[in-house]
Amino acid sequence: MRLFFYLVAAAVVAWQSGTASAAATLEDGFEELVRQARGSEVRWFMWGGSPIINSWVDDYVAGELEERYDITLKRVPADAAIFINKLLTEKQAGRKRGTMDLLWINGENFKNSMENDLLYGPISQRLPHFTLVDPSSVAYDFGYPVQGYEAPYGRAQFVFEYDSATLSEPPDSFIELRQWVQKHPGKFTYPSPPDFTGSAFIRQAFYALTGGHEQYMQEVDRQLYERNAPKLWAYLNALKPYLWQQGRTYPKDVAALDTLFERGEVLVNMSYHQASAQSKILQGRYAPSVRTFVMEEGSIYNTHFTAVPYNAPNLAGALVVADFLLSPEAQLSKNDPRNWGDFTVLELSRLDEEWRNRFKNLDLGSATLSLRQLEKAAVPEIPSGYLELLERDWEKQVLRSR
Amino acid sequence: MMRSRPSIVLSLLPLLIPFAAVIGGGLAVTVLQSFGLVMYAYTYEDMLFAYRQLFSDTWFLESAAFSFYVALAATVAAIILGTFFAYSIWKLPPRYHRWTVIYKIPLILPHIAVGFIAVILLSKTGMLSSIAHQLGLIDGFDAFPNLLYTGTGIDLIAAYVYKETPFVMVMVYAVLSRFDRRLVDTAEMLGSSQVRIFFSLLLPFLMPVINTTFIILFIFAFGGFDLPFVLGSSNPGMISIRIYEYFFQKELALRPVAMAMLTLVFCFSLLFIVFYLRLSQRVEKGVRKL
Repeated sequence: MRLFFYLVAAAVVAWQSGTASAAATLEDGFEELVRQARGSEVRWFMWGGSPIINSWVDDYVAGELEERYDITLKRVPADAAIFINKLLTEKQAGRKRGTMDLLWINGENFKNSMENDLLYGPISQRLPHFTLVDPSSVAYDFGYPVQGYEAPYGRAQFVFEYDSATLSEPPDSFIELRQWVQKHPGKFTYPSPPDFTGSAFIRQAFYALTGGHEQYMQEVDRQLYERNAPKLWAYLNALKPYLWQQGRTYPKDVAALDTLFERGEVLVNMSYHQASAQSKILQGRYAPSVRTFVMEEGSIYNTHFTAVPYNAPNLAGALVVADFLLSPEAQLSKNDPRNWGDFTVLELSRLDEEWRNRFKNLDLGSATLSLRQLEKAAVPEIPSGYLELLERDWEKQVLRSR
Repeated sequence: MMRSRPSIVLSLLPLLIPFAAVIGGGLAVTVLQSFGLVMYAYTYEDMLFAYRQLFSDTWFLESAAFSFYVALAATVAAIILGTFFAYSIWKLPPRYHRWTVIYKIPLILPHIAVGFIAVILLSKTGMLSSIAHQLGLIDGFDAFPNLLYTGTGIDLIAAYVYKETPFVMVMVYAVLSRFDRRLVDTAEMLGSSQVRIFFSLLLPFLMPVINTTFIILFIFAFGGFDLPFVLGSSNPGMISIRIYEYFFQKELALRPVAMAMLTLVFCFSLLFIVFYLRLSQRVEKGVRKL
């Protein structure tokens, strides 16, 4: 009997200590996380298509992490859809210990991850620097509630690009764009959705042609969509015969469109990144006379985030990195167009005077619009339900219509 | 030849098991997911929803027909050109044979490199266009003819023909070199024309290798991804690009549609092989009866 009692007691103690150590990372203060992360390696899976972003991560971020926290950062380039796919397979196979510590995701990939319980969290409230962010500004990701499962780290806004040496007055509203395109056949096109940028272009036209974004911010309303979408298809079909290659084909992604723009085959380009033109000028890919503009009717912005997989082998390290990315130092360095030009997610009024001034005095470069111009035009992303409908119907109503 | 030899099967087992596990396992998951099963956290009420989606509209059939057309045109052209070139080389005096290694260059280029070469050379602002401009043949790149991204598939067909013709040459030449030249000499002495010699004497001898090559090239071009990715147009679009879009770029819940397309492509390829082999056997039998 006594033996039995000891056994039960031992089991209870073992069970408690087991849960305690598992919960340690969830409840412990940030200092404890920093202590645990020391000397560890963090594998950050992120999109690797931009050399300037890659070198910012490899040089600045990795260097600072090494110095401050003794963390080795390994950047693993991969498209979000591909690593989410890998994570899904790991989940299905029941793998408790994965290979990825931190992910760069947003939008559709975040939704896919949440629907399949692929993420660890909530995490953002545990990051000390998250107090510098206005939580309401990052409550939704393409209409999907974030609930703290991803930590914001940057903001991008949609802009159009043109070379001021060849084009004096860019068409800066959707009505003017149509007139301009019809006058300049073959000099404009957009990447074919579901490419991220091409899809954003049609969403923006959708807002502009149907009376603004406010009506779409709630749940997806099929009737509203059916009523408004034909206006968009009529507009895009009016452009179609005047597009590059008479609209018979579209560049398959924004990189293909960039190439056409670089070579002068099209005169207006677009980017879901307000500082991309400035970076490309600094890289020598674009002429120094390239400028950007936004449409009068508004320009879409979105926030990108970092998230931690459910089976991250180095949870503490991942959280420390996510927090470092939110620090004013990292945010400022990232905001510099020489490094990347990605906008900060911090609420400037939550910073002290000195940091606020540093952000305000940042030279964004002559190709990038001022913060005020961008802010004035900024409109939020559409809930992903609408996005899927638009992408699906674009194929039917525009791509394949004759 | 078709006798069952258990000992052979047993000795092949170490090879067969990984083969069956990888191919069979992948195939099983593809087919199951096309019916909406083992789709992570998603459940589907209608098991045939993906197939219904494919046939509720014409895009899938258009893409499939376009892929079929590109693959067939490219393969037929490559077979004709490759056989002709191999025959021409074979007829050359042997001392020239080592120079013909040049034709093997496209063979070592990956498909994607051929795609990039086409873009660099042929696009409106490409090298040919610049040369034409420098020579004063055209005023600017707008005057350069549209060769790429025309939506007609001609660019894809040309790239496949460039890439596959040397492959046909290597295959055909290998068989030709085993052919007894004295038969040709005899036919010439008896007064056969060159055309007659080629079609009645050499071609029947070459048909087995041509058939094999045809199947390999056709199946590859039909499902190939790299060239369509670089050169393909968005409409109607090759089937492989459609699969890629549904697999990676659209909502995860739509993945069964990609899997259904993969399943259908696989079934089609199998059926194609069976029909092609049947047909070619029948034709060959007819030839022998003559």
